[in-house]
Amino acid sequence: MTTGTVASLINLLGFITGLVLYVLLLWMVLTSRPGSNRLTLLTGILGFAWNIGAFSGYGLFNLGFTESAPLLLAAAFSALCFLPAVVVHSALRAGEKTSRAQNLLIAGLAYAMSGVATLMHFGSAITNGAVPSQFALRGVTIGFVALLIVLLLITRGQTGRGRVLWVVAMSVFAVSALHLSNHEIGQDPWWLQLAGHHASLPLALLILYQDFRFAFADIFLKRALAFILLAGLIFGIFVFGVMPILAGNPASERSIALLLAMWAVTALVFPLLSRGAEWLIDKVVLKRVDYTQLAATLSRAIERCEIPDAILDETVRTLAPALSAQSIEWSDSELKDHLNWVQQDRRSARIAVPSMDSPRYILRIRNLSGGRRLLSDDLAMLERVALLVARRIDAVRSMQERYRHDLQEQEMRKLAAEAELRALRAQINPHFLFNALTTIGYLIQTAPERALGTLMRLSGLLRGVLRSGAEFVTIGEELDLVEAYLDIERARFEGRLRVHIDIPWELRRVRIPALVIQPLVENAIKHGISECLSGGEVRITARLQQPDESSEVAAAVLISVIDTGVGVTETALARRRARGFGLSNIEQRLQHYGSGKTPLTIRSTPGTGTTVEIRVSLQAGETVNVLASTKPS
Amino acid sequence: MSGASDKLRVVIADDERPARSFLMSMLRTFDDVEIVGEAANGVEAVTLIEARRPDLALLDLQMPELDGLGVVRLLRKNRMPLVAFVTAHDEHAVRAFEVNAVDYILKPVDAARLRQTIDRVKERLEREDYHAEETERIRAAAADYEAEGGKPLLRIPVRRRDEIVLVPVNQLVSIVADGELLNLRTTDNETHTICYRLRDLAARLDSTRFVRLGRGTVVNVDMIRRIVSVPGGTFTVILTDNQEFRVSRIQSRLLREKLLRL
Repeated sequence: MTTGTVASLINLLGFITGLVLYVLLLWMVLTSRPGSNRLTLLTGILGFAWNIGAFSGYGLFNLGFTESAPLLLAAAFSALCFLPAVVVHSALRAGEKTSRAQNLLIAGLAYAMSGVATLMHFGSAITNGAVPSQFALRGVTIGFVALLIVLLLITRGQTGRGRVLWVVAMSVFAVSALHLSNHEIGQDPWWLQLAGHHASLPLALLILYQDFRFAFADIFLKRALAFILLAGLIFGIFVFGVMPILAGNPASERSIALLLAMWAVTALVFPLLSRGAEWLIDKVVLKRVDYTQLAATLSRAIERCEIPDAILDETVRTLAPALSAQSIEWSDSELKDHLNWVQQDRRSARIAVPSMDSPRYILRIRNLSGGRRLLSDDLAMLERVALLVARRIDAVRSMQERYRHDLQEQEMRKLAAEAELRALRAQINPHFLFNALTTIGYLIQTAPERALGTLMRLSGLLRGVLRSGAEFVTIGEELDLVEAYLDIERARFEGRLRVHIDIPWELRRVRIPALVIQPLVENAIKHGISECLSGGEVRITARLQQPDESSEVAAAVLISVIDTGVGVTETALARRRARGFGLSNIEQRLQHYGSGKTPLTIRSTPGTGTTVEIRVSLQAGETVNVLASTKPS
Repeated sequence: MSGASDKLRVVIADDERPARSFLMSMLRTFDDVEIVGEAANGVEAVTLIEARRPDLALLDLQMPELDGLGVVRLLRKNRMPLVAFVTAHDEHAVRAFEVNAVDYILKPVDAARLRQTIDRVKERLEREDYHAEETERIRAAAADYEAEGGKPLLRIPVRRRDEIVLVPVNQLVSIVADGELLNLRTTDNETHTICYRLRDLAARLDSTRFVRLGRGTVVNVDMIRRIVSVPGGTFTVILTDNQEFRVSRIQSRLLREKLLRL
């Protein structure tokens, strides 16, 4: 192979690579936030123009595909001459110390030099067809070296890699320009050609690596590396394996078999190489996190969290660096359907956490850095993480739910036990019982018939109170109990106790918690009537409270037990309640059966009497029945 | 014991007629007992006992307005009979009676148990000093009972010549000790005098409504109109009926804690 052919091939390859890189850069710039970086865009355009111009002007011409085209080449070289100006402009922009006037002056100077060089290239192309204009290139080189020195001075002390990048790029351009100004195409060895003609490649690579690392690596680097590895392998095999073997007998059957074997090996090896290249890029260039490991770490971390908020915080904290996202936020989701788990646009994504119950959450990934997009493995990872988080949230919630349920059940059991105990000890309190027995003793002597009747009432009452299991009774059933109780008390107190029950028949079917009226009646007699010399009256009434349509008050039955006894002061009442006279038990039970916050109210005036009112919500099915039956007919 | 008959003279007090009748019919089966009266409440019982002067009073513990213990407290010392309390069920009372050896009978009354009480009373009547001893025992039992489970006092029974006035506690303005006696001022500007210890009475009053101002004064909190602070860190309390009381140093501190803080 001649030097010229090799150089031409290298040139062709270089221009194609340059084209690919600058197209990539352009695409990246255009798809990232619009208008954010015009200079990078300009760099891309100029690089693209140079490469495509040089490719068609030099490369194809060298290979004998096209005629020489001086104007096209002049345009390409003009683009090349403008590149350093843009680079200088960018360097000035990034600078922190320079003033606006300084910036304008230097940038203006750079663009002016490039402009002059452009004019000279076109002039030279039109007048004598000689492109590039050696004079223009030399001028540009000297001018930009001078500018570089100025820039170095101005940006001195600036931190960051930006400066280094631009300086390196500038130097390479200088070399390139020097080379182009001194030599004719095709005369130099291939490495000099490479360094001279393709100085724009490192620039593209640097920009891509710095600004669009992920995209560059994902789209270009992985494939390029895989192919380079493959090419190297084939080359190695060919040089060290095939050539010696074939040297003896170039066209034997063995050589064909060998070639076929090489072919097969190449095909088999490529996926391995490709995976190796990917791994290398991910680990070394991108330092991308191993997702399996990430999931394991995250799963361990959220296992320790006990509330959904903590789980999400932990997830966000783990996920953000792994995705090199500037921010990941989580928020409540208002979305009803979660078919679209991942919604993604160019630089942000939303992932729904598919927990079983609402509130559901959304992870918002914003501003992925380095031009990174979410690739399919990222998405797969995110879905997996979302599932993981959802499962943990579900677990935490169900745990909380179970805990709350347990607590509630425990409380209910305690209340029920208390109620039972109260039934044994207080509701049918011994004082009442023994007084009842005394009354029966008296009646045995004077009116045996009535004694027997009262005895039966007492038995019925005891049975009713001791009946376990039935948490709910109808008002009618409870009234039977109350009547039995009142019969006995009437026998005791005789004329001193007067009773009036006013409960509509249709309300007697309403179900209420057992033993809520009887204790109230007993309290009325014990603390109200029996303390009065002349006795008094106990009234038991019930009425329906219609549901209020504007508010969310459900239909309820209001049951009042009113006595005309001695009444009670508020402090005495508080003391009585604190000592547990059954009132708090009734209140708690009513609260549990969903009768609102204050299902029991007491109004009392010393000397006049006491009114206790309880509010029992109707069950859903009952509402209709009762409402229907209470409509005026 | 009085008169020719050597029967035991008994008074019964119970607000429930059936219970009263039941007890009476049982007593009638005893030959050595004579029922000299029955009372349907505490006030009646006091009058009855002082008029008839029985040997034994069977007093129901729970009666409206004036209960069994109240009756005993109100009786003049020289008219004090032997007492047995009757109760259906009162753990606190029963414990207090047992500790102080005061006789009590549980309802429904058992004839044999009633017989025991009659016999014991007869035994005690033989002795000279039974009166003083009995009074002391009952007083101690009452104190125990009230300390443990007694209700706050609602009315204060006051003797006035031959009648008994029940002064509702919420009409009290002030209670001022005067030697052995206590002067009660009411909202009607009336003054009643009872023979009682201030410390005992204060213990039976609702402590959130009555506040002690010093060794000899208790006032109703609702009747305080103004509290004027006196140099030296004490107070003067002015009541709605314009009575003025100096507050002792210790009570001033308590008053500040209890009343003068939001």
